Amino acid sequence: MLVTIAIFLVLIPAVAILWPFVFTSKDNVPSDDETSAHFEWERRWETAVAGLKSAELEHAIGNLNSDDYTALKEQYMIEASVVMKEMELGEKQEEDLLDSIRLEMVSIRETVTGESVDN
Amino acid sequence: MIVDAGFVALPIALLVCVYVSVASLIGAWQRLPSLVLSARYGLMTVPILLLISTLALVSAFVSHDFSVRYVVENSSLALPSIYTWVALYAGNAGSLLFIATIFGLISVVAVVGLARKLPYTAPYATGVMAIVLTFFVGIIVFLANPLERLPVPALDGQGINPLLIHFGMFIHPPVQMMGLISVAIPFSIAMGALLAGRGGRDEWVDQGRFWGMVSWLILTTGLLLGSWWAYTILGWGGYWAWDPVENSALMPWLAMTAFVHSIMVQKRRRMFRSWNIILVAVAFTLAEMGMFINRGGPVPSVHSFAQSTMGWLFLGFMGLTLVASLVAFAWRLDTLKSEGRLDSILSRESAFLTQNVLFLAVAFITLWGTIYPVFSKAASDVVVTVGQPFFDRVNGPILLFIVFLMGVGPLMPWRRANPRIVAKILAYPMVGAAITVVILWVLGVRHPVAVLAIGVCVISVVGIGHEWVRGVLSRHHKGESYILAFGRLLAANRPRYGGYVVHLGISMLALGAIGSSFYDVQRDFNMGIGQTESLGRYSFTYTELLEKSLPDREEQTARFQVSQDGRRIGTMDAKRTFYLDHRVAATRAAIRSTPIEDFYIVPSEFNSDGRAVFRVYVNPMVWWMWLAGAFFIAGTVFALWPRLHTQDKQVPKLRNHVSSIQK
Repeated sequence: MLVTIAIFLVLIPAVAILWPFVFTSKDNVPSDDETSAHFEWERRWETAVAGLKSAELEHAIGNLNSDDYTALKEQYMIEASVVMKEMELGEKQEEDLLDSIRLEMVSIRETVTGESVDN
Repeated sequence: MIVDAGFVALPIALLVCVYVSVASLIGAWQRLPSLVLSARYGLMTVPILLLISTLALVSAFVSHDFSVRYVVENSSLALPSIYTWVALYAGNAGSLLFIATIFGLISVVAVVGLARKLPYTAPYATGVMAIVLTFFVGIIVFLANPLERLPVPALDGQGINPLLIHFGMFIHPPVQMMGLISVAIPFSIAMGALLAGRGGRDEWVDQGRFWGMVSWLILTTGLLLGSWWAYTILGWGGYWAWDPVENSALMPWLAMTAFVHSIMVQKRRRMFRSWNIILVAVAFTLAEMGMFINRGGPVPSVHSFAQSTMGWLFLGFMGLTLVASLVAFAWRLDTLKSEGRLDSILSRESAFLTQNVLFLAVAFITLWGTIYPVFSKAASDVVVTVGQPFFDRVNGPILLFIVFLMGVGPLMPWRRANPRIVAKILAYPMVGAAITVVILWVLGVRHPVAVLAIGVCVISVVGIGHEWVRGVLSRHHKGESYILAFGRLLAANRPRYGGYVVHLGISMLALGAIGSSFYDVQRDFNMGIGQTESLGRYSFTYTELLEKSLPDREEQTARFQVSQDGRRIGTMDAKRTFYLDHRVAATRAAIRSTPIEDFYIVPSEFNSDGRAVFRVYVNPMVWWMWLAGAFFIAGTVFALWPRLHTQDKQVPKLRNHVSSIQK
């Protein structure tokens, strides 16, 4: 009986371990990973967007004055633009992305203060 | 049969762990996707095998299978079956199996997420997790197998440590063990990124932060539950004694607290890359130190339940992981350069850095105080223990400064803050603190350190409150109800406001610690039945002694009628139980807890006529410490909760956006 139990228990990991060798599929090979340029661009893009959102929030709740807010916003917008340039996006694509950022800023301002903001 | 299945599952789990460690690292290094996937699938079977062993042990306890040594050592026929769960981890072998099973389960959850988000780093991280698992399962198989049979079955067991027979023991030890081992997850992710050559990139940060916060929450909950257990059952009127086992849980908590803050700086500013790797390695080393002290380390402790000589193996593993981390760090140092820099002293990142250094200072002071007896023994053959006064005096002021930074730091923006704005932001908290100090002075609270400390807590609370009030009022002026405005404000930035909720909890914890440290009152009363005494605003009459004999223990319960300011507030029962098999007595304090203060009675040994010495305490504001736990959980969950966007308002993921246009 003990031998049967042991065989059954060995089968559980054995099947799992051997599965990828026996049933090879395209899923075994990730099409893209974090070493790719796309990942890097995406990460830099998200950092810039998060920075913009944070600056907007800090400004909306009064922790950041207008001069510092403008300076910070400019820095993050430059970073976002650099990423778009590196990706060689078309003018329309860049404009769409920038529009989405502007919309998000308006949304943050509205959420925090209830006021709309003119970009 | 189930015990045999559990017994057999353990060496199989060990072999799988070894395979996963090797296959995952080689597969990642040689870029062999099938090998990597094989290792990942293998890892998924480890918790299944360990769960079979755990269930086998539970089954042995429930069926009173006294042919299993661990069951004999940690249960008896008289033990209520509800305590089977506690008995499972009451001893060394069972607790190791519990830790390995939990870590196996958490690892699988973490690896599934990692494989999706960081496909290149995930196999390295999986390899590191598997090495940690190999260590634990190896110890279980070769040195502490809880399913080992006795040559001759016993007729009854030896019973469980009486101090473990308490409601708190159902959750405190498992949560504490889970907390310590969960630190291995962010550590594995960081080491995985380092080995993959991605430590200097920031893509591991989100996963590291997420698991860091999960680990932090579990550690925090474990610490609070431990304090609550000590407060209610150990009968010394306190909740924290700077005992080595307590310290061993506190030290990784301090390092993880520093980590979850500084990882945000890396995410936002691409700074502190080396620092974060070091922090998480230190946190894991301290967590291992905790397990070492718990398991028969050289430092004496009042409540290390699982004494054994295998502590030295933990010390060896701790040394190995520390050296391996440092080697990996040195190897990849050139990739860890920060891109950002500190633009100004007046900035959030600067406050975080200062706070980080202070947290580590407290951790290392605590470490030094904890292991000092070992050094003193080695140097002069005299064991000198470092007690509460040392820790209070050295760590107290640093912790107070951390609370101050906790109030001020988050109010400052990233990169730089305008001094005039900072002055404006701080005006309300400072005024709030000043008003509080005056009120306290008028009310007779005049201990300078206590008043200063409460003032610092108020700065933090008012700073958070002021920001919320500003936001809510602006929305309210647009016609929203206060509640809706408050809810929407919080939803605007979950991590930020979740963090604030946690900070409110820390302020409550600090207030509880200040109140109970500076204004507690304690007195011993030798009382006979019918006698009335008073302490502070309370008077209490010892009305009767209830005695009960059970097969394994004798219970004596002193009943008191208690009045406060002449008004009767009810009865309180202070219990003392003597466990016959263990020849050990355990007390259960009678506690009446209110937000203002706790009235606390604990009995000593009873004479035959019922007379006994009762130690009575009035502990101000302890109630707030337990409430803080709810704030920690709520705040962390809120911060981690995924944000639900409406599509039109969300900035799209770059890749999705581009591919949608290209279609």
